[in-house]
Amino acid sequence: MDKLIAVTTVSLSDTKAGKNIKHLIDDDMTSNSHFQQLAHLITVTDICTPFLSTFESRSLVRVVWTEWSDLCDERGLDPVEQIAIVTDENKVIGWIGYV
Amino acid sequence: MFDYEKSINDCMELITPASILSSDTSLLDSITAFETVSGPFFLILQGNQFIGWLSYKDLHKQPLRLCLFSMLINLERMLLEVALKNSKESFKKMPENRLKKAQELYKLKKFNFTQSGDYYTSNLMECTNMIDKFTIAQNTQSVVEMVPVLKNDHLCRKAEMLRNEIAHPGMEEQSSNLPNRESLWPFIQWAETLEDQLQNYLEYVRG
Repeated sequence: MDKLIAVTTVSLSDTKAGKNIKHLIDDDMTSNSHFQQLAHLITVTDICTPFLSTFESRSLVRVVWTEWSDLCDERGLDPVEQIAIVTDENKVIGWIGYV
Repeated sequence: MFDYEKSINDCMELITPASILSSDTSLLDSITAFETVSGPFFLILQGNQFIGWLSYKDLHKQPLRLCLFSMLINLERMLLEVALKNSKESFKKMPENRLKKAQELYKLKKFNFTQSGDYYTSNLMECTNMIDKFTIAQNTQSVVEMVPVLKNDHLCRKAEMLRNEIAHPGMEEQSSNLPNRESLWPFIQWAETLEDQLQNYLEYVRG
């Protein structure tokens, strides 16, 4: 695995991202754990789920319900496993979902 | 029941500081976050913008599987090295039916036999499963003395199951066989301790 990481670093060394990865690897050389070395290279941005949509806080539940169902139909998503952001005059104030 | 003519302002949840994670939080830190905070998910904040949400289910996507698999195959490699230190004795520590399985696989893989018709021990050891290698290590006194975490048979079996689950996934990407929220971090800590102790043992026997 050390070899694998080294190869990755060389192949990316000319890019900004590659330099960042190299920096992260160098920083983490104190850890012998393969798990930690890899897990430090992945951020929550890589695995998080996008919000279904953004709704104005004054929107009626009936309207949101319909739009929610339509969006999930279009995208083949499970309606129960979605979260949407609620805004008030473009300011995020909360969330809605079944979770 | 919802009142469909009300606004969503009446049924939304407020965002609390404890439910927010920065977008540059590492996978490792998010695992410990799920262990310490009881909420169902985190909202991911990048700069001043929420870009998505993270549930425990998201942790089981390919990146975590890759990390876990990397750790588990490294453990299996170390256990193989332990078993090969005295391979003839090692085979005696395996149940007969498991040895027979390894011999059957040896033939399926069409490995050669020695001039006297015996198995090449290193090739035969490669035909054993991870759980066989655990059994060998657990039944070798000198190994258990330096690698006491091997005594946790439950986690040894879990490691074997997880390795097979990731190596041979079913139709579902996010399998229910992966550790649950309460047991993931303790399992990782156990596996990392095992990795350290096996490393120390191997360095000791290599002289």
